[in-house]
Amino acid sequence: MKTPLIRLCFSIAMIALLSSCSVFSKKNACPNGDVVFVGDVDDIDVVSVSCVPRDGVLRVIVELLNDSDEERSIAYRFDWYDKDELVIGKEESWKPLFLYPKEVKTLRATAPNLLAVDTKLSIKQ
Amino acid sequence: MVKRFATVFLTLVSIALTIGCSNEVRYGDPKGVENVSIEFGSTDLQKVAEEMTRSLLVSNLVVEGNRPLITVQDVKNFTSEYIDTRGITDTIRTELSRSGVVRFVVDEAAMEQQISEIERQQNEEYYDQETTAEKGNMVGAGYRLEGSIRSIVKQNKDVKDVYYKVNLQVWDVRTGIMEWSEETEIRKIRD
Repeated sequence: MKTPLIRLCFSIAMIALLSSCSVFSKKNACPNGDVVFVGDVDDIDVVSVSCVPRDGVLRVIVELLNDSDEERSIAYRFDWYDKDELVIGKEESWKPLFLYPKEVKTLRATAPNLLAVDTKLSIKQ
Repeated sequence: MVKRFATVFLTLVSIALTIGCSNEVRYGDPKGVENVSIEFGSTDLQKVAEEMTRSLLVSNLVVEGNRPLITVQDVKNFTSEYIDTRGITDTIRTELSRSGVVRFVVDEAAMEQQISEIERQQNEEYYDQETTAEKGNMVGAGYRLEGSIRSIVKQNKDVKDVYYKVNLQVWDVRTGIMEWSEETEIRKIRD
C-alpha cells in the first residue's frame, strides 16, 4: 500500500516539474512562437512570448530569466515566417545578451517586413 | 652518419607537420558571435544594422505605401579606431531595400559614376537616343540618413572596457525636420 502511494506522489511531482520547465506563457501568441535552445543552455528560462502586429509589422516581446546565481552571457536570434510557414529573408546574426543573476530581460524584436506572421527564437550559450 | 641523417630527417618532418597543422583553414558562421578582439567587429556591425533597420521600419517615416526616397550620407566615426562606417550604412540600405518599404536614390559617393553613365549615353554615335537616359530626370531624395559612432574607452592593467554608441537620424530635406532617430549601445569588456 505504501509503495504505490509513494510512486503516485513521485509521478505527480515529476509531471509538475516537467510542466513548469517546458511551458511558458504566450500572450497574443504567434501561431507557433517557438523558442529553441541550441545545445546546452544552463539556467535560462523563457518567461513569456508575446506577438503583436502593429501597423502590419509583427513585433515580438520575449522575457528571459537567468535562474542562476551567476552572470550569464548567451546569444540569440529570431527567424521569421510568412503565412505559408516559409522562412523570410536571410537569417539574422546571433546577438550577444548579458544577464545578471536572477534577472528577467526583455527582448524586443521587429519582423524584417510586412509578410511575417510568425517567429522562432533560437538561444545558445 | 646514418643516425645523424635520420635525426635531421625526422626533425624536418616534424617542423613541416607543425607548420601544416597551424595553417589549417576552416569556414565559420558569418552570422556567429565574433569576440576575437575588443575592437568594433562583424557582430557589432550586424547588431547595429539590424536594430536600426527594424526601428526605421516601424517609424512614422514609413506609412503604408508611401515608399519614401532616402539618400545615405556619412556616419561619422568619432572613435579612436578605424571603423568602416560605410559598411554599416550599406547593410542598413540593403536590409531596408529588401523590406520594400523605402527606396534609395544615388548618394554623394555614387554621384560621379551616375553622371558619368548619363554622359556616356549621350554619345549619339554609339547609343540609340530613344533608349538612353536623358539629363534632368534624376529624382531628388525626400530624406537623408546620417549618423555618428562614438566610443568611451577605459583601461587599467587588468581590464579594458569599450562602450560604443551609434546614433542615426533621418532628416526631411525640404523642411529640415528630423523625422527619425535611433541609438544603439554596445559594451565590450576584455579581462
